[in-house]
Amino acid sequence: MFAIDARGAEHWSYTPIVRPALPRIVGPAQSWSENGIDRFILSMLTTKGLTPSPRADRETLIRRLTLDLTGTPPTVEEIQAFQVDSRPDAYERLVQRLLASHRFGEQMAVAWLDAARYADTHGYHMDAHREMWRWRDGLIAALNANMPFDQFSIEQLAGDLLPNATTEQKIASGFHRNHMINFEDGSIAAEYRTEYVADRAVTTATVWLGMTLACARCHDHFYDPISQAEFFRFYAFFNHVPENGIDGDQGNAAPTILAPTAEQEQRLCDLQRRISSLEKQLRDRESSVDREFERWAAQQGGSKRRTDPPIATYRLPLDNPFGPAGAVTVTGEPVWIADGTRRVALFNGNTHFEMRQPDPSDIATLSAWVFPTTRDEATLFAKARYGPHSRGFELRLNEGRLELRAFDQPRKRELRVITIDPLPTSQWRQVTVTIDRTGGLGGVKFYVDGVPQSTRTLTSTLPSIVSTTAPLTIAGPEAGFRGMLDDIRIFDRALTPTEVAALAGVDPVAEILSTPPASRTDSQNSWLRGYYLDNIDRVYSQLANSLAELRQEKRSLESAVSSVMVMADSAPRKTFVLRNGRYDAPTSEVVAGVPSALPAMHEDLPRNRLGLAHWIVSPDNPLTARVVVNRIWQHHFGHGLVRTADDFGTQGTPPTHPQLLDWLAAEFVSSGWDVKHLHRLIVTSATYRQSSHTTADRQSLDSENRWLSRMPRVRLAAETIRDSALFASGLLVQRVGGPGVFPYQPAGLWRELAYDPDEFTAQTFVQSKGADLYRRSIYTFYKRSVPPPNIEVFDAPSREQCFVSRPTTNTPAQALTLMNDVTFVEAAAELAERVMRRSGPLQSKVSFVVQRVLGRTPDDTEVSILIGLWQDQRDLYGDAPDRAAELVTNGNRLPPPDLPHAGLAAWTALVSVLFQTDEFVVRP
Amino acid sequence: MPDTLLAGEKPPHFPATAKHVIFLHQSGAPSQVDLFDDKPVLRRRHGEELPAAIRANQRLTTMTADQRVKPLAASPFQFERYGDSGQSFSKLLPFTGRVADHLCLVRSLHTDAINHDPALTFIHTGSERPGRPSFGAWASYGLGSENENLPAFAVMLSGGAPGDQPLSGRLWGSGFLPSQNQGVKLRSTGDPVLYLTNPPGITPPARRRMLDALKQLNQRRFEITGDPEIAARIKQFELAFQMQTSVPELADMRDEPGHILKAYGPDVHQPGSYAANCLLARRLVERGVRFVQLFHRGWDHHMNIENRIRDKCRETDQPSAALVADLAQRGLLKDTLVIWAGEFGRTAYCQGELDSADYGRDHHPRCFSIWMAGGGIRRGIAYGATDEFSYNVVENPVHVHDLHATLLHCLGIDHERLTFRFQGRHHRLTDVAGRVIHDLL
Repeated sequence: MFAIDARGAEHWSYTPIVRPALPRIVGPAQSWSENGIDRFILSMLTTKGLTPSPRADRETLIRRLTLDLTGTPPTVEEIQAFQVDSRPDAYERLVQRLLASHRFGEQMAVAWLDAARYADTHGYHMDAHREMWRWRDGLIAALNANMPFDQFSIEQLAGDLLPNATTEQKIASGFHRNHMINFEDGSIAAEYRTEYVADRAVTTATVWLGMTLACARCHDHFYDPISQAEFFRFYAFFNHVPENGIDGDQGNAAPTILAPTAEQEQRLCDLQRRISSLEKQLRDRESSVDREFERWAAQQGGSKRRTDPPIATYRLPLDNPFGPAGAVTVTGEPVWIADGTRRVALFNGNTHFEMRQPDPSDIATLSAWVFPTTRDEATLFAKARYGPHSRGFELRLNEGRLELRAFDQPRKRELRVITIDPLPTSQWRQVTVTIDRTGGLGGVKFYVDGVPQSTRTLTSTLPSIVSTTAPLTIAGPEAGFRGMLDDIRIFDRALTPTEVAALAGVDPVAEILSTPPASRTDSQNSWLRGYYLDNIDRVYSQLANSLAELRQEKRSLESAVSSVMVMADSAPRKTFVLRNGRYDAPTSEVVAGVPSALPAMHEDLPRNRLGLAHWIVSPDNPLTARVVVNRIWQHHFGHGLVRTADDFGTQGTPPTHPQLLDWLAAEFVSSGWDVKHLHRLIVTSATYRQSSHTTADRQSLDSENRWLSRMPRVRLAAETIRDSALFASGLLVQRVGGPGVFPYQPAGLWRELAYDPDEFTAQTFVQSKGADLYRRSIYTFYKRSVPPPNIEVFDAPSREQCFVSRPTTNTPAQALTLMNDVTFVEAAAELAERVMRRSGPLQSKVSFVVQRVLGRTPDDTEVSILIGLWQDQRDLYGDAPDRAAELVTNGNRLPPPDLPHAGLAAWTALVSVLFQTDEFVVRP
Repeated sequence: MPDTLLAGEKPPHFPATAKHVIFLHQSGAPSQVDLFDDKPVLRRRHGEELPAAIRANQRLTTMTADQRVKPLAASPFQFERYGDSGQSFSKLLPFTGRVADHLCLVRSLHTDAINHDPALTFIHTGSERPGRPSFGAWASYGLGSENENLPAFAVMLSGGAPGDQPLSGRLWGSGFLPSQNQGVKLRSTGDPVLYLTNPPGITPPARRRMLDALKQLNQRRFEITGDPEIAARIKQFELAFQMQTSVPELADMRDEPGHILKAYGPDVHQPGSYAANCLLARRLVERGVRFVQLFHRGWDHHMNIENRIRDKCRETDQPSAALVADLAQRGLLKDTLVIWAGEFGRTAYCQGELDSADYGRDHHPRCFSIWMAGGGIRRGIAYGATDEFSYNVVENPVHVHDLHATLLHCLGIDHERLTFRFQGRHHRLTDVAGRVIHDLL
C-alpha cells in the first residue's frame, strides 16, 4: 500500500498520519509551553542547543495577531485596550475576537485565490473579462463561517455533483473554472480543452495533495511514484465538463449559472409573482371582452379609420444628398433621382452609407422601400465588422429573398433566417424586419408591403444576434446593393404588425372594417380582435402596458445578475493517455482513478469528481491534512514546516518537525477539519508568542530560523501592505464582496497591451470613483496580463497558474511604489489631516501617527528623528506654498481650507516616510 | 529562498561573446515569403493550389483549415542582393540591406504553436504554457546587471493600433524566478518606469531629506531587531533614489547628435515609436543593461498584406538597421547581440481570395526567417533553407529551443546548467530540449 520512492525507501508523506505522543519536557522550560506545538518545538530546540526567545510585548502581539488573522493592523484604541486588559485570558479573548471578524475571511481568502488561480479576466490573448466574483464572495463567506475543511473541499471540487446542490454549492464548484480560458481566433478547441482539464488535475494535486503531478503529463514522473497513465487517470475526473475549448469572448464561458445575490433573488421572485398575476388578469380580460368586441366590431362596419405610421427613432428620407456635416458618411457615388413622385437614391453596387451619429446600437426594426435591379446577393443593412475577425449581423437579399444573417466568423457560428418568396426585381416593395431579442430565432419577423412573410432557418449555430460597436451601414460595404432605396426608418423597438402595415401605407384595420362583419374571414377577425385589445380596450391595454413594464424591469434586473462559471459533468468523454501530453496524440484509453501509491478509493465512492473529493478528505488520505496544515503554518510563520509547500514528494524539502506536522494534521482531522481551531492552536502557542528579535548567537546557530528559537519577521502580503496604509489613514472602505473594483493605477497600462478596445472588454482601464478607490485589495479587479502594479510588485502572482506560496523579494521597485504611488501619498495626506486636527504637543502628535501606522509607541530616538524631519519639511514647504498645496491634494483630496498647507505637507511627508519603513511592511 | 542556480559558481559558465541582448520582436509574425525567403517558384506557380505533399496534412489554424482552396501567392515584392555578402532581402528593406554584411540571416527557424498567444509565450519563455520566466528574466537571473542604478532587463512597446495582436506581461515576466528579474517597462508616457517620479509637491531635496530620516528609522529598527533584511531594504531605497536620476537621464535623448537622430529616421522624435525605442535600446546597453526587449506590434497580416507589410517595413527597416550600424560604429556590436524575429512565419498560400486586392497570409509555424547581429554571431551569412514554397525546412532546421540554447551560449551560459527548482523539478529556458547551433557562431 505504501509508496516506494525512487531511492527505494518508504517516502514519509505517503505514510499514514499517526498522532505522535507529545515529547516530555523536564525542567523549567515546562512552564513555557502553552500547548502541544510548543512541546515539539522545544524538544527540537533543545537538541539544537537553542532556547526560546522571550515573549513579545503586548503591542507586538496584538499587531502580529491582527495582521495575521485579519490582514489589517489594530487600531490605537484596540492596542490600548489590550495593554490594560489584566484578565488572565486577555490574549485568548483577543484571538477569539479576531477569528470572529469578517475580515478574517477576506484575509484567508487571498492565499486561496492564488491557489485557485482566481482572476477577473481570461488570461490568454486579449485577456477579456469574466465574472467570478460570486465564487470569490462565496469563498469569503465559507471561511468566515468556518465551514469544516472537508466539506469546503467537497464543495470546491464537486459542489455541483452534490445531491440537491444549492446555488451556493454550485457556485463553489467554480473553483475549477478559474483557470485561464482562450478564444484567440484560429485556435483549436481540443488543444485548449486539454489544457483546461490538465490544469484542473495539476491544481487539485498541488492544492490538496502537495503532488507535482504536472511532471507526469508527458512521461512517468522522474522522482515520485506517478506514472503517465496515472496522470491521465486523475485527469479523467475533470474531463466531462460541457465546455467549448474556445470560448469566453462574451464574458463567462459555458457552463455557467446565474448567481443572483440573496437580495436580487428576492426581487426577481417578487417580480415574477406580479408578472404571473398580471398575465392571468390579461388572459381573463381577453376572454371576457367577447361581447364588447363584437359590439364594437359591428359598430365600426364600413367606417374609415386611418392608422398613422409610427415615429421612427432614426429616419433617412433619402430625398436629397446629405449635407457635409450630416450623420451619414457616403462611400462611392449615389445618384439622387426622382422616380415618379418619389425622390430616391440610386446605388451602383459600389456605394454605401455609414450612419455616424447617432449610433443605433439597439436596433429592433429596420425598414425601407426597396427597388432591386438584380437578383445578385446584396446588403441592405449591416452592423458588422468584416475581415478575418468578422462578426455582426446583416439584412440582405439572397437571390431576391430577404435574409437576416448574424455571424461570428472566428468561432464559425452563424444564424441565418430567410424568406420563402423572393422579391420581384425592378419593382418597389416596402421591406421591414423586426427583431425581438428576447424571442430567439422566432423573434425575427419579415414583412413585405406590410404582409408577414414565411421563413425558414438555414443555420442556427449562433444563439443570438451578435452586437458589435460597428456602425450601421446601408447598401454595403460587402456585396453592394444595386437599385434604388427610399425612406429608411429604424426603430429601437419591434413594431407590431399593424404598425408595420402602416409603414407600407397599408391600413389592414380599415380594410377589414370596410368589409361587412358577416363576410370577415377568421384571420381578419383575429387581426381585428388584436387591434381592438391593443388600441380600443382601455383595461386590456393598461394591463398590457403594466405587464410590459414589469417584464422590462425583470429583464434589466436579470441582466444585472452576475453569472458565474461552474463545473458540470454532463459531457461524458473518454480519456486517453496523450503521447508527450499532446492533445492530438491519444494512445491507450484510461478510466478515472487515483495514483496507486496512495490508498485506494473506497468501493462505495462514485468514480467521479464527487468520489474524488471524498477520497481527498478521507481520514486515511495521508497527504491532505499534512498539506493543508502546512500551509496554515506557512501563513503564520512565513515558511511551512515543509518549506516546499507545493511539493511533498521526494524532491521536496522534508519537514523540519515531522512529528509536529503529523500531530497538527491528526488534530486537524479529529477536530472535524476545524480551520479556526487550527489557527487558534497555532497563534496561542508560546512559539508564536515569542519575540522576533534576534541576536548574533541565534543568527549564527540558526540563520534561517528553521528551529524557531524566535518568531520570524514576515514581509506582509502585497494586499496587506496596501490595506494597512488605507486602514491606518482611515480611508479603508470595509464593504464585503461585489464585483472587482478599479483603484488607482498609472494610466495606459491596459491599453498599451490591448487588442481592440472597441470590440472586447477589459482592454481599457477605467478608474473607479469614490468609495471603490479604497476597498480592500482582495476586491481589486485582477487582470492576468497586467496585474494591479502596486500588488504585483510585492510578489503577488499573475494568477495564470496555481501558486501556494509567494516568494518574498526586496527590490527598488517596491521602494518606488511606497515612495510615489498615489495610493500611499494620498493615505499619508489623509492621516496628516487627522493628526493636525488633534490638540497637544508635537511629540504626542508624532507618537499618535506612529501608533496609527506602526502600532507602537516610538522611543525617544525615533521621536527626535521624526520631529527633525517634520521641522525641516515644514520649513521647506513654508517657503514653497505651491508645492505644499500640490502634495496635500494628491489623489482625490480637496485642500482643507482651515489648515495651513505647509504643516499639512510636513505631516504628509512624515507619514509617507513611516509607510516606507521596513517595519510598516513587515509583520513583527 | 529557493536554491539558486550556479551555487558557488561564478557565471558565466564559459567566456561570453555577448554581454547584452537586444531582442527586436516583430509581434504578429512578419511574412518570410515577402521579406527574406525569395521563392521564384511561387512566381511561376502563382494561383496554383499548394501541393498536398508539401502541406502533408500538417495542422492549420481554424482560420484557413476550411478555406476551400489554398492557392500559392507569390510575393508582390522584388528581392535584391545586398552587400559584399550578397544577402537576398526584399526591396522593402533597403536600410537593412545596407547592414547586410553584419547580419546572420536564419531562414530555417521553426516553432510548434499555430496561434499568437502560445507562440509568443514560447519564443519568450521557452514554453507555450504560461508560468515560465522570460528569456530576459533568465539572463538577468543568471548574469545580473552591470549597472545597479538601472534594471537588468528593460522592455519597450510600440505599435498597438486596434486589432494588432495583444501582448501580456508574462512575455517579460519572471515566472517562478524572484521578481526582481522581471522586465521593467520603459514607458513613453507618464513615468518612464512605474512610480519613478516623486509625487506632485515633493522635490528631490525634500525626497533626500525624507530618505535620510527613513534610513535612520530603519537603522534604529535594525539595531533593535537584528534582522539583516532591514539592511537590504535600506539599500533598495537608495537604489530607488539613484534610479530617479539615472532613468530620466537615460530617456532624455537631447544629447544625441543630429546625425544620429537622423539615422534612426523621422519617427525617432516621436516618443514611444519603434525608432525612438531602438535608439533608447542603444542607450540602455551603453549603460550596462543586460537585456533589452522591444515589441513592435502590427505584423499579423491575414488581409491586405501588400499594403500593411509595406507600412510595417517603413516603420521598422530604417531604425533596425540604424541600431545595428550605431552599435557597430561605437564598438558595442561585438558584445551586443541583436535579434530581429517574429513568433512564427506566414503561409505561402493566400488567405482570402487571391484575385481580390486584399488577400493576406495565415500563420505558419513550419518555417520563418529571423536575423541576428553581433555578440559573437557569424556575420554576413544566411543559414538554413526551406523548400521551393517556403513551407517546410529542408536544410539546417533551427527550433526555437535551439535558438535559445545558442543565444544563452553567446552569453556564456550553458543552457542545461541555468536552472531553477520549482514545483519538484529543475526548470530551464530550453525545457528538455535545445542544442547550440555552432555553425552560427
